[in-house]
Amino acid sequence: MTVKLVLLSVGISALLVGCGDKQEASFCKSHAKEHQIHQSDITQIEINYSEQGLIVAQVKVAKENVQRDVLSNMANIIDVKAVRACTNESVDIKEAGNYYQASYSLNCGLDNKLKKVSVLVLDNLKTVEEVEVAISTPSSSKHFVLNRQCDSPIFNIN
Amino acid sequence: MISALQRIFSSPDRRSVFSRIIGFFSTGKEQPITADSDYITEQFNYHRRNVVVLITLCYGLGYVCRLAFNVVKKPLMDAGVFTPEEVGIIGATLLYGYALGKFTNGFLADHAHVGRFFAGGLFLSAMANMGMGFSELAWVSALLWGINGWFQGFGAPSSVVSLSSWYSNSERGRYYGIWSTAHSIGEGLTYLGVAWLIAEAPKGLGLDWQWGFWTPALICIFGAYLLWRYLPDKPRALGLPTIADWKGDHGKIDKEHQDESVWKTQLRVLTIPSIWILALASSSMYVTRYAINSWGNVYLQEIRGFDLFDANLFIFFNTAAGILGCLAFGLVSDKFFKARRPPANLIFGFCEIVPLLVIFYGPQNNVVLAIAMIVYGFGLSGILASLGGLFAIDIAPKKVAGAAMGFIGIFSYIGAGAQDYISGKMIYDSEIIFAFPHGEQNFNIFFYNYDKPIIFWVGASVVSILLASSLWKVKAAD
Repeated sequence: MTVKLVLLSVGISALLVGCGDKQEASFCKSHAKEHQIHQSDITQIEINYSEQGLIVAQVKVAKENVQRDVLSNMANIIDVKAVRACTNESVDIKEAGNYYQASYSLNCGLDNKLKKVSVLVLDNLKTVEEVEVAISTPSSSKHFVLNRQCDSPIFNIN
Repeated sequence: MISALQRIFSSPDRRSVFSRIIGFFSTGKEQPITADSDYITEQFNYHRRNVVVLITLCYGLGYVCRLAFNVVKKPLMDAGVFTPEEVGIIGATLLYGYALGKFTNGFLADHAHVGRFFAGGLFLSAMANMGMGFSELAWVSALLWGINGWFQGFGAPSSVVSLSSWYSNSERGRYYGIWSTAHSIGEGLTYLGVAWLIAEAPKGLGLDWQWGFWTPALICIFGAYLLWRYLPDKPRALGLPTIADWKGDHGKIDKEHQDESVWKTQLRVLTIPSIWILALASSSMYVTRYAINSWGNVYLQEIRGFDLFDANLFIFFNTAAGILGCLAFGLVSDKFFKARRPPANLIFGFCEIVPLLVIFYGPQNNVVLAIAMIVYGFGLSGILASLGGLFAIDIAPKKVAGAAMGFIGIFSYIGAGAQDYISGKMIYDSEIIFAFPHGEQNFNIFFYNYDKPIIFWVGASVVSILLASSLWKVKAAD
């Protein structure tokens, strides 16, 4: 009986460890720690949704990845669906060395309910492999990395 | 266990298989009391020691099969397997199933061989957990989890019937306190153990969410085996006197109903007004309890930015402190208030509400959060030990302790189940999706607002304590 129990425990432990890791996901699992090595080079997006209903999105992207015209059209970068339509307030594009720094502002109003904010950078900027994103809403903030090779966002980046 | 089943199905007994199953799970007939007082003392000492250890350990192990879903909620939501509303519905089905189970099984447990009854429930709960690991369909998961709730409802009434059969009025508070630590043992095992399995390395093993169900199932099968083998029937079925006779510890004797049948006394429980008030108080407190258990770790990950392991670690602090809370409640109410529960209810109620306010509205500091979680767990477990059973057993006639517990249980878990759905709905209604499409694929990041659910959770505790305090002058029955 005791021998059977020991064998069962060893078998289950082996099964647990064996089923735990998938080879193809190793890059995505380890990238959180390695991200800081190339952090300053990659595309960065910062979105701030305030209690007053203002959405400000800032995108820093290398010039080699995008044409200024594409950035100038807000619809190429951000699309907001809410209970009541939001108004596009401004688009501002600046150059800083090899980068464009684009800023987009939308006003969704005080008591409006946001449903979905689509950020189209990966869809429209085909040469961008990875983006680092920081989003802040009245209730919480999230900071993560999106890489085309990974199925899910990478959180807890250093 | 297998040989017992073989006996049921292959017996030459002419009764139907169903009748034989019922007979197998029924308590034994009352035996003539043996005249050997040394033998009686020896038997009581032996069984009393076993009972408290077994019901505490196995009820605790059973919790792992009840709470596993709470730990994997966030991974399931993040992976897009279920929405918060679906998660709320699945969580609620367990609690409704459990409410029904506690009620029906409360009545059944008074007539059952509790060792076999409890073991059967735990084993079937393990099977439901196995099934959950294979399901990605909301309705299948809801069905399985609801059935699991009913099986989980075998444990508490069986434990309470054991407690009222083997421990007398004046000592029951302490033993009930020990048994109540099972909540915390089980919650701790779940929030640390299951979280460790699922959390990403280096904090955890990084297993798929399915293992969050399969591992608890294996643990519960082990618990069922222990109960099957070692948890005894009632003293009178073993040829021993009742615990009140053996200890000479009788409460207020209701001569008018002394010779009443168990079924009649069970129904009479429903006519006691304080039992109804207690049921409502318990129900409200269960809203808060299951809100923190079900959504607490999701809140800590979503709003406070902790990872899965750390969020569950904070929830673990509250459950670990709960062990002390349960023990302290039994001791404080037995020793300092002469087995009166209401004064202790009030003290522990404040210990629960104040830290709850600190958790949600206090400074955003990890040390403060940890301390608040500990004090909250201490207060909550103490008051739950009372509202969820001890106070009800005091008020109700002892021979129907299971029914009283079942009645309180159904209210408590209807409250908890409604909470899970309402919380899930409120959270889902606040959802904002930040989508990052790329080709055919989509990265979706979900944002939720917890302001309304928090008001709901804290408000429920306040209502509970007000109701419990209205029973200040209620006294124990025999």
